[in-house]
Amino acid sequence: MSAPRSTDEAVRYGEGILVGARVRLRPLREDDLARIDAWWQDPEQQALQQGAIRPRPAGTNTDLFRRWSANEGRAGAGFSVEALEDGALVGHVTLWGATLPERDAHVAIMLAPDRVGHGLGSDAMRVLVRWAFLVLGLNRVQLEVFAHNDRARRAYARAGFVEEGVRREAAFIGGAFADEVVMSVLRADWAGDPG
Amino acid sequence: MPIDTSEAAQAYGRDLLTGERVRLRALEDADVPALERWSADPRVQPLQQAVVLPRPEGGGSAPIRDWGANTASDSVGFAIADRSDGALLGFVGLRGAALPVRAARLAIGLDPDATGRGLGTDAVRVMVRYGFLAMGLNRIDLEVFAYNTRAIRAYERAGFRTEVVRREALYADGGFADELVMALLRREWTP
Repeated sequence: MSAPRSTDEAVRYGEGILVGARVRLRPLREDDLARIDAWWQDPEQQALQQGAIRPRPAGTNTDLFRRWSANEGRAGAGFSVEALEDGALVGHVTLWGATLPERDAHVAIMLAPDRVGHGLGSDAMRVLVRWAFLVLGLNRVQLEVFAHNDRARRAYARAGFVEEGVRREAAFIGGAFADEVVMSVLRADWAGDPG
Repeated sequence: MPIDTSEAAQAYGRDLLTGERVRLRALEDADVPALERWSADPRVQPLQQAVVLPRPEGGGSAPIRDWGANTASDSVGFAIADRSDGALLGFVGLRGAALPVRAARLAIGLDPDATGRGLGTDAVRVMVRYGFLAMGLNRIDLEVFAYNTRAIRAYERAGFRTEVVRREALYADGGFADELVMALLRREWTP
């Protein structure tokens, strides 16, 4: 990978950088917010993402997602995930905490509950990681996932993330402490453009 | 040990913050300039913040005062004093304790001229005991740079074990370096 050497190459880079094999990342739209907020409040989702099952009134988190997706500055970004096959909103991804001199950031993804299991999440993560390395110049991208979320761990592994360790009993769910897995992908290990 | 008498309760309070060689006590105004000077010392900064970037005097005092104020239940911070002569040796604290996870993160800073004598290990042991016995924590963790071998040995002596190697998570002296997450669980802890 090198910087574009011509106008055409620069245009192609811009065209393709947020497009994967099955999804593309695009700016948040106001009419995404009701569904994204509903996913975030869904007790099934909360058992995978937040640990605490504690739904809040509808709309409580729309400002949070607006802020995560405003994409001002260079320390982070949030995008809506759109399926290429039908143009439907299928999720949301966030990257935050990018700093100098570490060039390290965190990422997270949320998928529409009825669109899981079709490889859309791992494709969205591949695109987000590529964006982090090629656009922001990051060296490392990290995420945390509950150890019980085996489906997500497999998807992250397919997107190139490596398990770095386990934070034991770092979460509490279903009346017991639960482990949290730390995963990351380094620029040097990254396989390159998603196909 | 169960506290079942007035005397047992008083003994618990008396011993809780006292180690073999150090004791933890409330932060005093007079501690702040030295603590701030140590945290800005170029010998200390590669171990604590990775980035060597001293700030003007006074620029780092507010976070120390806030941490040592001990006003909320999610965080606690103490000055470390030498038991023999009362001299200030550093600062140790726990932050981020919340329900339902009951986990907190430990951090410690020492006088750079007081290291290598086991005083830090002792202070960490006392802080851990406080976290488990007084705060009801289930997990205490910390982050330490992989090149800080002296600190890692001290944390291991206090019972911590390495859980995660965050590869290339920091940048120092022109290159990326690893950071460790170390933790100690309540059920692993021996008083």
